[in-house]
This record gives sequence, C-alpha cells and structure tokens, in this order.
Amino acid sequence: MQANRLTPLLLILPGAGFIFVFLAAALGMTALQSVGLYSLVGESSLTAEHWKSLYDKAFFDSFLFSFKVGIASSFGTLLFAYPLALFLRRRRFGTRIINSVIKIPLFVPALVAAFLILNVLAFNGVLNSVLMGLGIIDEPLRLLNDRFGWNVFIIQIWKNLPFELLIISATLQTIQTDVEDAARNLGASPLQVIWHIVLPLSVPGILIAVVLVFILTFGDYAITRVAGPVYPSSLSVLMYTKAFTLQQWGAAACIGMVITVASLIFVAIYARAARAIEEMRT
Amino acid sequence: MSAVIRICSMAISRRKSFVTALRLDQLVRRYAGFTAVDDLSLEVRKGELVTLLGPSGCGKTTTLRMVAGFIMPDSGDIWFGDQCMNDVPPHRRNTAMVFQSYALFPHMTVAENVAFGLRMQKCPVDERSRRVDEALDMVSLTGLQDRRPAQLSGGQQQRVALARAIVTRPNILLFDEPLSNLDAKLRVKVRLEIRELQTRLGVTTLYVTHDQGEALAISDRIVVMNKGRIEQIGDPSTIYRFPRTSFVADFLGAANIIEGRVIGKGMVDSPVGKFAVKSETPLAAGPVKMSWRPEDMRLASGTSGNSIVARVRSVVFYGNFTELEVDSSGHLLRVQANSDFKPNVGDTLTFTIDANRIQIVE
Amino acid sequence: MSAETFPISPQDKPRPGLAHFITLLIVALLFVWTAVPLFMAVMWSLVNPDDPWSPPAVLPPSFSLAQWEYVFTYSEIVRAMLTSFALAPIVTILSFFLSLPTAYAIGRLDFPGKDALRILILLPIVLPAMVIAMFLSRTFHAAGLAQTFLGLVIGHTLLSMPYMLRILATSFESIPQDVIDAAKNLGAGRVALVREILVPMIMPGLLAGAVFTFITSLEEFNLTFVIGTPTFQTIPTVLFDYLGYHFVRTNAAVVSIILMVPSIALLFIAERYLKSEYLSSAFGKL
Repeated sequence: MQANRLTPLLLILPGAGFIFVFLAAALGMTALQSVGLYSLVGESSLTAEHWKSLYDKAFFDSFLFSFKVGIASSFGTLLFAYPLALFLRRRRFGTRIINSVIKIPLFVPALVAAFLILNVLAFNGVLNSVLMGLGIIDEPLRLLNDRFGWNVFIIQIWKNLPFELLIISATLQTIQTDVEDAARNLGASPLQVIWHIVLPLSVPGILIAVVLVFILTFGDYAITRVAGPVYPSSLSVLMYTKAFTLQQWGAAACIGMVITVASLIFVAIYARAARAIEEMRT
Repeated sequence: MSAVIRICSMAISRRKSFVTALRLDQLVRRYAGFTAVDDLSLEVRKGELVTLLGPSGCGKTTTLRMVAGFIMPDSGDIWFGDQCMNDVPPHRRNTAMVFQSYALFPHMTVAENVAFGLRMQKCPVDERSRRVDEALDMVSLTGLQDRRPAQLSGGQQQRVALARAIVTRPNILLFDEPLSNLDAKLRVKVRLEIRELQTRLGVTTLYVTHDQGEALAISDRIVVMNKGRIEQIGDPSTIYRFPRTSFVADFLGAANIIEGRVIGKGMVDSPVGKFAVKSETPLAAGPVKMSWRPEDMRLASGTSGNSIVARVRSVVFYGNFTELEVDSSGHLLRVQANSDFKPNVGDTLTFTIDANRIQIVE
Repeated sequence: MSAETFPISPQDKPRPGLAHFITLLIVALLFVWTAVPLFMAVMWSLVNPDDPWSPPAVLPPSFSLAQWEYVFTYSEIVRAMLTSFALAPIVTILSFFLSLPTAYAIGRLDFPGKDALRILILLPIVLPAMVIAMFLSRTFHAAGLAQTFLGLVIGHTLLSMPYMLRILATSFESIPQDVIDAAKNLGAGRVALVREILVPMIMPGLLAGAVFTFITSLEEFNLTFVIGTPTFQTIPTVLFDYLGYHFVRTNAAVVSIILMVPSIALLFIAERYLKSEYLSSAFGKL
C-alpha cells in the first residue's frame, strides 16, 4: 500500500541522490579531462592526444602488472578461502575460535596490512630470523622490492582472505545439507559431493568474491605504492604520478577511465552472479 | 404517512444493525488475470462464529484481509453494524486478527505484546496490566509475562497471539488459519479452546481455514467458498447432511457422486442401479447428480431397495473404521464400514443406501 | 540391493583423532598467519632505542616506550587523531540520516529501477578509490572545497555510506510483513508503527552499520590523502608518511597500532551484531 507514486522517489533522494551527485562529479570530471576538457593546467579543448599519449611501454607494463596482481590476488586468496570455507561449514570443535581470529585482517586497514607484512618479510624481519634460526638459510633473503610484486601479492592475500571467506561461507550456507545428503545417499563419496554438487552451486558466490577482490586489488594505490616495485607501478600509482608529479592530468584522466571501465565490466559480472544467487535462494 | 414509514424503516434498520455485526455487500477483488473474490455477500450476526472454508486460492483469506482493511475491495461495501468501513484504515477499525504465523513482536516480551493494542487505545497503565494478566489467564499462560517469543513453543506463541487479540475487546475477531502450524493433536485441543473462549466473550468472529474438520467442529455457520464465490452457507450439520453442490459434498467429508436420470416420481436411474430418492421439491425430469456419504452405505440384507452390486477393489484399515473401494459397473465408490469388517479383495458384495441419505446436488 | 553390493568404504569411517589433529593444525597456522604480523608490529613499537634489535634475534632485547613518546611528541599524530576522531562520528551520523529513508524504500517498497539503484549504491565501494579521490578533488578544487573539512566530510560520507545503506536496507527487508500488519491491526498509526516496530527491529543492523561506517572513515586513506593533505592529516595519512620516504620502522609500528586499536576494539565489542549476515549482506547481495 503506497501513499502515492512520488513517495519512493522522495525517500531515495537523500541517500541515492548524494551518492549520485558526487559520484557523477568525480567520474564526469575523469571523463572530461581525459578528452582534454576542463583542464586546470593549460588549455581546454576537445582532444584525443591524451589517449594517444597512453600508448607507451609504461602504460602497458603497468596495466599488465595491475592485471597480474589482481588475478593472482583474487584467485590466490580463493585457493585458501574455499577449502577453509568448506572446512568451517560444519560446526566442529575450534570453529568458533577460527571464526573470530580469521576476521581480524578484515579490520586492519590496507596501509597497516602492508606495513605488517613488510615488517615480517623484511631483511631483518621475523621470517628471516626464524628461517636462519632453524638453519634453513644462512643469509637473510631479500624478499622485498622484487619485480614480480610478491609482497603485494602476499599482503593482498593476508588482507582479503577473511573477506572472500565470508562471502563464500554465506554462499555455502545457501546450499541445503539435504541436497548433499541426497547425493551421499545415492553413492557419492565426500569428495565427489564437493566436486559435483557443492562446487557448481557455489560458483556465483565464488564469482562475487573473486570479482570484488580483483577490483580492489586491480585499482589499488596504497599497498602497491608502499610495497610494490618501483617499476612497473600499478595503474593507480602511474595515474597519480602522471597527475601530481608530471602534471599530466589529461593522461592521468585517461588512465582513470581505463581503470574505471575495467572495474565496471567486473561489476557487471558481479551483478549477474548476485542475481543468480537470488534466484537460487527463491 | 410517509413519516410513519420512514420511522418504521429506521427502527427496523437499526434493529437489523444491532443484530448484524458484519455485512459484506457484493465484494469484488481482482488481481492481474484472475478474480480473487467475485461478488461476495455475507451477513454475520453479533456473537456468531462464521467460518470461511475452502481450498487454497478460493478467496477466503483475501476476504478476511478486506475486512481487516489490509486490502481494498475493487467494488462493494463492508459494514460494521451501521458504519461503512470502506474508507477506514486498518488501525482504526477495531478488529483484531490472529495470524497464521502469529506475527508476535520479536523485540517485546509476552506482556508487552499483549499490551500493545491497549497502549494504542491509550488505556491507562494499571488497567492495562490488569487486562493483560486477565487475557493471559484466559489462555492459560499466566507466569510467562516476561518471556520473549523466541523462548516459547509454537503452541505458546499461538496463545500469546490469541491473548493479544482478545485483550483489546475488538468488534470483530479475525482468524487466519491460526492452527496450521500446530501438530494434529494440538490442533484438535486448541480449536475447542478457541471456541470456548469465543463463546464466553461473545465476540463476533470470522474464521478462515481449509480444514473441514475444524470448520465443522467450531462454527455456528460455515461459508463454503470456491474460486472466489460462495458455494453454500449453513450450519455444520445442515451443510454436511444436505450439500447443494458436488463441490460442497466432496469438500466436507467424502462423497460418492453418481450421475443419473430421473425416470419417474422420486426415482433415478444410474449406471450403478435404480434409486428411490426423497427430496423436498419434486424432481424434474432429466439428468441429475446424486451424492451420498461412504458411511451411509450398508450391506444389503435380503431384498431392500436401492441396491448396489459391487466388487471390492481395496480394503484399508484406518483404526476406527475400514474404508473399502468398490467397483460397480466401472464406477468407483467409497464405503466406510465398521473396523471389524474385513472382506477380501475381489469379493462381490451388495450394498444399500437409504432414500433420505441421497442428496441431489448440482 | 543387498548389503554386499555397497559395502561401507574405509574412508567413510570417522577418525576422530585425525580430524582433531587437522583442526588444531589449521587453528595454529591461522593463528600464526594472523597474529604474528600483529605481534611483530607491537614488538617494533616497543624497541628500546639504546638497544637495537637485529637478526637473528627473534625478539627485541629490551623494551621501552621511547618510540611511543617520540611519535607523540614529534609527529603530527595528535593533530591527526583529532581530525580522524572528529571526522568519523560526523560521517557516521550524516550517513545515517542520509541512508535511512533510502534504505526504507529499498527494503520495503516496490518501484521500478530498484536493481539499478542497488548497483548505484554499491559503486562508491567497488570503483577504484584513487580514481574517485583524484577526480573528486579536481571538482572540489573548482568548487573551493579542496583542503576543507567539509570536503573531507563529503568524501568520507560518499565512501562509507554504502555500507550503512545496504545493511539498513537488509534490516528493513527482514521485518516480516505480518508483524507490521499485526501492529496496524492493533491500532498503530504511522508514528506508532515507526516508533514501536520499525526502529527497534532495525536497531541491530543500525549498530552494525554504524560500526562499519565509523571504521571505514577512520581507515580511509586515498581520498583524505588527495583532498585533505597537507592541511589535514588523519592517522592513515601519517602512517603513509612513515611508510614512504621517511621509512622509520618503529614510528610506522606505533602509528599502525594507533590505527588498528579502535578498529579491532570495535570488532570485538560489536561481535554480537556483526554476524556474517551483515557482512555478507554488505557485499554478497545485489
């Protein structure tokens, strides 16, 4: 029973309106500056030169780097999160402790997580101390500042593990145990149940978790700036450098557009997956 | 002269409204593609318990919700006494509803739940707590005032819902399949308690259920509904004994429905035999439908009229009776017999039925 | 089918000892994985400057609060803490009032474009933060809002409100229609309905949303960095300083702990409310 058709519109105005206005401002500015308009340095004119300037090694290397880190982080986390989620499905002894402890990195901000892991992996960090103490290595390892970006990768996994775990756990909960029991009743071993029943049914949840972490890590600035290699930098770091150091705001805007569009594509995938979950639930 | 007539008709209508607590006048409610309630008219007397009975989708719940004010009829009127309720919102109708899901407020204690309606009525605090205790006592839940709904069993939650409804002394009490979530034995017990309570309070009640046993057990009158329309209204024994349509015959209890032709005064010819039928109005020639109950069929002794020869197809023991499925000339009939009666499958038996136990139905 | 056709296979028999051992192993590994980095940070913040700590020692030789004193005396941390703890509650309250009506509409009303709306609300937290930060700051520059407190408030609210909104919307949605009908049936008009039913029933979600929003604002970096510094510093921007060019491990450790303590404290206080339903409802649904 709705009072009138206007009511929903009025109600959504404060929250949605606020988000819409400022998001549109930010993204609009990005789009405009990428084609040369609204430039705060120099002339404003519609131009494609900023886009053309992107066609260089730095950009492609950064793109590849960010993409690589994104895929590695999201799937790497999945590798740990999924089995853990399966393990935590049934209530056993120890489930509660695990659940509390595992949530901690969720509330550790990205910068702190970067520091914490760097600290452990550092030349004079605890990892080296322990390895040397155990006699596994003679000299401390130089793990930081490598080209592949291992530390970024490890930091992202540390930070995002509880996140993926929660999403996947929630998805697994929607799979009724009755369905699994039916499969076992029909002769499937526990492993087969997971492979044939649980895994396919949890695909939407997996997609959501992976997509969200990918977007976060693909467009990340803070962690890669602090822990990543100097070259190649992540796309966001490149964007920042072009803007604030080189004052090439147009080029920076173009990079911004690229990151945004890539993220939007993945948001679309997320939306499809989320809708699939809703349908499964009803 | 016209003044006299006017005064008389006013007197008559006021008396009528004193007696008629609820009147539904040609209610119609449509949804996309189908008509949920189709020209429904009904009068309920003060203090009466009227049950809307029918299968799911027949429109009974829609009707109930229109009385409560949650759904607006597309056309037709709803009268509480002499007041037209069409434009009155639900919170001002002074009805009280017991929901199928109980709909208890999860964040309030039992006492707060029951007191809610009284608070809305701005009842003063001491009177409020007295009436709450009284209501809880009536449903045998004294002592549970401070519990939360989540701590109660299903049966207890149901009683709280009941107490919450009656404490406000509503004009009309509404029940929406309140017993569906209880197990069978509890259902039988609670429905009688509801009936006792309702009689004691004398509150006009509209009760919705799909369970015919429930309807027969507690109602003053039953309104059998099908596809948005009323099939028949009557008190339980009349409706059971004299169903007017095959739907009513089959919905309330079981029925054997046989098609035949009228072949003389009070005689019907059918594939399963010739029958003498007693009916109030003389039977017009032509096709008719006969209906009789499985428990009214007896084994024929000697040459009684109205005989049916049939072969036993199945025998099922139900504890307090035996149900036989018998085949007479290709027509399957159900017979309810004494539990000691154990014929063999394949036996051919002769049954008989009293003329006044055969109903002519539409 | 006789029993011999499908014998119970050996791996189906339960082995409690092994299961327990594996569980313990996993708990231990998780503990190490999660706690050791935290522990190390605490250790580094307590290093005695007169007694340096270097490998292969696993723990510092002696402890002192000197690093803490140093940070509090010589850095911008106090100013940053004031800013952070001024911003977070303001942002939380603003987010609450902005989200409430919208959450109600999404949770309980039906209208066209609801799905698109849900995605819109999700965008601030899934779109790349640095892009939004940089180009919102450009817009603010044009509007004179750069380097202002108001600009920070707007920016933080933009990034934190989606959490509050989604959790509140789920809370509203989960109120059974029957309960609302029962309240109306018993005489509750619109005001009483809100006061007696809606507000109490969304309270847990409200608190969860508030915690989320508060923490998100406290930890927010990208936007504050671009729009706020150098005029305003928050705890994350100070930390970034210490992680960048002036990498002093001990200072970074101290600031990290300052940043983590409120977050983890709120986590444990709100553990009752922060059921996985809220967290996954913040992300897992459309």
